[in-house]
Amino acid sequence: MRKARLVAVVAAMVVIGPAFGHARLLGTSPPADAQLQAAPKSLTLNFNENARLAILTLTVGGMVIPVAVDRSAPAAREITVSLPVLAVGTYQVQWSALSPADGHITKGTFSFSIVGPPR
Amino acid sequence: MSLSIWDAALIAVKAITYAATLGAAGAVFFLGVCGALVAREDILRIRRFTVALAALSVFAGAAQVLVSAGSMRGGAAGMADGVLVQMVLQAGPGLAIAVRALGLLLAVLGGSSGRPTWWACLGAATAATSFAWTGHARSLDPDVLPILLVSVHLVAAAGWLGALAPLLIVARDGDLPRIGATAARFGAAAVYAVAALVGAGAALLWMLLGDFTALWSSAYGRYVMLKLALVACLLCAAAFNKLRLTPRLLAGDPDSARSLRASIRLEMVLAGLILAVTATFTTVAGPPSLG
Repeated sequence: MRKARLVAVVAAMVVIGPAFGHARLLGTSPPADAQLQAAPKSLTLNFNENARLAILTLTVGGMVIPVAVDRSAPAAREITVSLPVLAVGTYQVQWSALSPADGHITKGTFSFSIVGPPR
Repeated sequence: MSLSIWDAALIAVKAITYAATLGAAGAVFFLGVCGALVAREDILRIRRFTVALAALSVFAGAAQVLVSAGSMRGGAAGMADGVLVQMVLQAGPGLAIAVRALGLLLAVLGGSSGRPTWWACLGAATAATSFAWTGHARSLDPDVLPILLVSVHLVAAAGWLGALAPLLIVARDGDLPRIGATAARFGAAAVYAVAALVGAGAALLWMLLGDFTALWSSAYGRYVMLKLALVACLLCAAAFNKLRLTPRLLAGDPDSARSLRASIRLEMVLAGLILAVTATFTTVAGPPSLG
């Protein structure tokens, strides 16, 4: 009976729907699901308020590509990280940031592909 | 985005921190209002309970920082990442934990002999309002009024919800007139706490939602609706205590003490659920007005 109540409470919270507020990510460059002809030299995250980037992990085919994140950088609405030379492939970006105004954690994932120049 | 085990852990430690802090502060307020009516041995039990809750609050607050770092990295390695832990501390929780610990220390020391001193009550209020140092209200611009409203909301929550456990300790006493007198005095004071809680909460909600329709059109609003439903149940239980059980206690009805204990336990379960829902929506959902 107790387990049933616990399950009901957890289910209610999940159904209501986590949205992971804020700071909220407004957009990225390259954009999510972009099909690029050339490899980007940098990656930019745009937030609705100042944020500090804590983690950014770039993977392709399950392999992690080392990316340098300056975690001592002051909070900003636009955060850019330099990328190494990337080959053709589909890249997954996993990031997490902290809102210095209220201490909230924001995180998310998106992907982009490098398809090479048109033939 | 799905809820990871780290996010669930963060919500759990947050809810424990809320419950322990408001419980410790509420116990101090309870003794300040009703201490003269409470038996000496019950006062000692309530004081020991306050110290235990204060210690739990500090440990849970520290765990919240570590779990936040773990949540950002998505693994235990985040808890050992000094830069991540420092980022969390600098973002508000560090100051909030320090203020809370200082407030709880005052609350515990100032209540160690006789009724709590004025500075014990000030310490309890400081600890309860420490949550205003972080949270969504700080993101509003200007933030002075929202932070003030959150502070009133928190002190009132401590005064009402935090006093339930001490009231249960008193309700175990076999002395019906004493239980009745304590319940009556607590009920009279709780009316003001509930009015402040609801008034400040409603005003704050209006600022954070920005639009009435956000109550059902946003995830944040739907969590708030769930919280309001639980608060409505809690208010019904509290009204039953005040209007039905307290008169029976004062009239010497021998069954009324048992009914009061059962009713307080129900209120404590509802209060726990309210804090769990609050910990959930302050973690996973942003207010629509902050877009």
